Amino acid sequence: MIRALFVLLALGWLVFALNGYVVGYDVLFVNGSSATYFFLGLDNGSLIPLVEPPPHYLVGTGERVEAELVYTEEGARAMVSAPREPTQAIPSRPVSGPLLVTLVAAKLADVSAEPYNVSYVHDVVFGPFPSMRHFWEYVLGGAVIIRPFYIHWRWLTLPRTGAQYCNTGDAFGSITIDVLNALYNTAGVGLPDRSYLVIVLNAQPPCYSSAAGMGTVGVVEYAASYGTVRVAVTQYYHYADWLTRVPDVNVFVHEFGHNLGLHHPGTLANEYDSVWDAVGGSGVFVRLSSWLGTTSYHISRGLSLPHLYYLGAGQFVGSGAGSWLVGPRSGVYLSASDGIYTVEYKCSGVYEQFLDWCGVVVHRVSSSASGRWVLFHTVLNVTGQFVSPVNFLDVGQSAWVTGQRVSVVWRNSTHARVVVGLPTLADVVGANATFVVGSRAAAVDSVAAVYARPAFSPTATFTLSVFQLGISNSRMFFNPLFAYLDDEQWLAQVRYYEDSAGARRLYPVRYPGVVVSVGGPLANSLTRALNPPDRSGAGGLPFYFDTAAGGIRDARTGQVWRGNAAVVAVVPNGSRVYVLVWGIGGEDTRRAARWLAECAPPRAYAVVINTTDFRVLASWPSGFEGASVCPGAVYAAAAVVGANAASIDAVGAAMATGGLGLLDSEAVFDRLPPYVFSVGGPLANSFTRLYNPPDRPGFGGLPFYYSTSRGGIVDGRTGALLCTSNCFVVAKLVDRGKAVMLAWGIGGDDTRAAAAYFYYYGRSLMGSQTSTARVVSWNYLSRDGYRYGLDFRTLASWP
Amino acid sequence: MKFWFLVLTVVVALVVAAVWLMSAPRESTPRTQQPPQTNNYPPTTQTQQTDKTPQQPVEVTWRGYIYARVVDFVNMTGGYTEWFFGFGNGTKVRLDLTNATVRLRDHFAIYVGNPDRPVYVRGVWNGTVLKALEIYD
Repeated sequence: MIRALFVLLALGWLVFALNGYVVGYDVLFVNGSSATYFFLGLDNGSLIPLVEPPPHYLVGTGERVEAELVYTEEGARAMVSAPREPTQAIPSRPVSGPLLVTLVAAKLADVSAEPYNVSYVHDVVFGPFPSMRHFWEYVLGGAVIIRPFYIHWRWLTLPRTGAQYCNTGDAFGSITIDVLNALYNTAGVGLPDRSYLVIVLNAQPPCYSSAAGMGTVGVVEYAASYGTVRVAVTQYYHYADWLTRVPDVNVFVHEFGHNLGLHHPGTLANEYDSVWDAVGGSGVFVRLSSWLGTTSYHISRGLSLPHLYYLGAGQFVGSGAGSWLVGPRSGVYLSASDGIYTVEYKCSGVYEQFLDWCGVVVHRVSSSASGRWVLFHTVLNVTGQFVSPVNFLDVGQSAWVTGQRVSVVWRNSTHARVVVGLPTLADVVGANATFVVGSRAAAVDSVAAVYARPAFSPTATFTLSVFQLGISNSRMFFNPLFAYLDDEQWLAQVRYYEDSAGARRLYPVRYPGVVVSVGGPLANSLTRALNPPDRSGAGGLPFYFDTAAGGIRDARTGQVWRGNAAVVAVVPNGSRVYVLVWGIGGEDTRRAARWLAECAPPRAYAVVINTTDFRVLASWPSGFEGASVCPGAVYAAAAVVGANAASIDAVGAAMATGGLGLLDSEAVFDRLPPYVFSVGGPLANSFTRLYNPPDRPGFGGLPFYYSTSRGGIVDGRTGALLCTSNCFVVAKLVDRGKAVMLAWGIGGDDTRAAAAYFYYYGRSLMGSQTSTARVVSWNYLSRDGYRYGLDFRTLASWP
Repeated sequence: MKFWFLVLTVVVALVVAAVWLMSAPRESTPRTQQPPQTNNYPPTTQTQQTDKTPQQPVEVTWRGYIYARVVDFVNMTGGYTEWFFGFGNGTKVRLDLTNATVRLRDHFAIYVGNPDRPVYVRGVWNGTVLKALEIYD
């Protein structure tokens, strides 16, 4: 009987357990009062009012929470329970409230120099951004207040020389006790229990000739003259004169991290190897204008999630397989036999903004370690002396972590969407993507990419890091391309690391993004590599093109579809996530891309769809067959390419816009949306030719045209030949209430560059009320042989 | 005579049981019971690394605190951690964790530098360094 009751209760819990996101809105009344309403947002869009206000840190963050359905007099309400917490394998020792810090500048008896003004030292420790105080108060989310307990405003002369301290066998401890006694004897200051003592020395004792600083892990007991004192102590040694001009905030932050109980979170090879954590090697010189004027400051760049969690400032939104939105101070954990792996996203923040890259990083928390217990995990298997700057996942990248796929499909400056396990089609909708079409594919195949684009968002991420000391850091973004041909050299994201010998090395990766490969295995070599004909594809993808049958075959059932069918699949492979979109014919490919844009894909890894009615004919895994849910789409823009144009023209179209993807022969003016991008020159695209014919001025007096005799772009106002290579025309022409945007260059590469120009700088053209045009020259930016961006220079403009 | 043999058997059994209990591994010792201490003289100086007096290594079990400090080098290579065992009265000795078996209820990191979490360390004290064999609470 009791057992049955338990079963019923368990079933009831399952029925009423919910999870979703906490959202809220404010209503401001005319009389100045306001009311706030909170809801649990479910994945299907439903909003359930919350029975009571949720914790503030859950509202609007997109972090998944567990909730229960409760019944009240007003009806059903949701009650939020806290996000899931990891097991005790990740230690937690929260710190909060005021932390009392005593600051002393002390001179060794044999060194007379006073390298710093004590006020300077005060500002390094207690000043505004950047300072030790500011860093820890900031990264711990205001949970602590670092409060000066006592500041010794003049240099304290220690009773012993550096050598004498070394001869004690414990210079650190002896200096600490001498300082404790001196403070008590000269100023009557006895340090409070469990407070913090910062000692800045004017030199390095001989036995610490290599040391920059030292810190106790937590508190240590000392036998002072007035009794036993338990304090956390840091010591800083004057190891270089530049420290007087360049505030080394980082070393103070680092040592204080030890005081809070943290160890070095680097790799097994190098315990400092984590640029993502202040207690690792995150220090960087940044030129700032702050409390010491405009100068370089050596600052830290954030704290890893295991450390944040340990100190009570981090949390986990979930664990194991799923699609997780992780943000500042939050992440996901994966349990494994050798510890707990944490997955987090580092990008924005007062200190994190100085990271060279935004990325998802992984740490392993060892449950058995008796020393360092957080270890940086090298997700890309790049090993060496200092490899944490390259071992992160940008969007579209994927890695195995403790036997599970971890993929990053989307990110902005604060949050990232991380998929643990194999991503489904539903997971990749909205992903940051790059697009690839076959170089010899028919234009209709390629223009499908224009349809696919609205289902995703183009990747716009950094291509180059600074990684140079002494200059102001900023992430480098150079108008990267996100649409490519299958046989093309991609732009590179150039990362840097140090190899085992300590030499600086490049680690270029293909420009990030979920790679949307459009076109079938016979037209697109990337699709063919992942989903070859006549056999199952990467990762066991069961749908393939059967050349003998002339259709798509399901390897599980043997069923074949010979017409009006297409495959849409997500394929993680290597360190990337790919989306394949291809049909039996070019028109099927275009319809498949349109299905992505207009329908809600299921939580399947792959489907075969009927390209006429969008029914799902087969899914992998099975169970998602049937009618698609297609809310449809309103297209504000169209891209028109020449039916016989080179494929790269159509690739350019996907750079320019997402929307209707049309061939020039299909473009009927009255049926076009308000914005029409005509991509490709007058010789390749008849729609462009209507507005911008060769050898004469175009629509509305557009003076720039292609001269067939001179082989370049001519300005009809002067007759001057503006350029014959590496240049293009971009124009906005206002025609019968529609904006016709032209993007064409001398060659296909130039046309794609023109489309890229529209993406990055088109707003200034499109915002014009009247017709306008420019001729722009462009070049690839490159470094060490790797192309990483595009550079533009305006040659002429109209009017 | 018969009873005399029975009484002797019971007494022997009790003695054997008592000896067994005394020498039983820690897991069988109730948590409220003091651990066995084969040597109960902690050093009295602040730190013992300067005590060069040769001493016969003896196995000890001490109750106290685990302390650590980290040395960070300028060139960010070769940093290291020094470990100490403190008795709570300001007296500390160097601690060698190389061969220590950790049997703590919480993660080790919770105990380091934490005055609220004393531990027992069973190890070999040579007058300079306490070589920990087992750490438990």
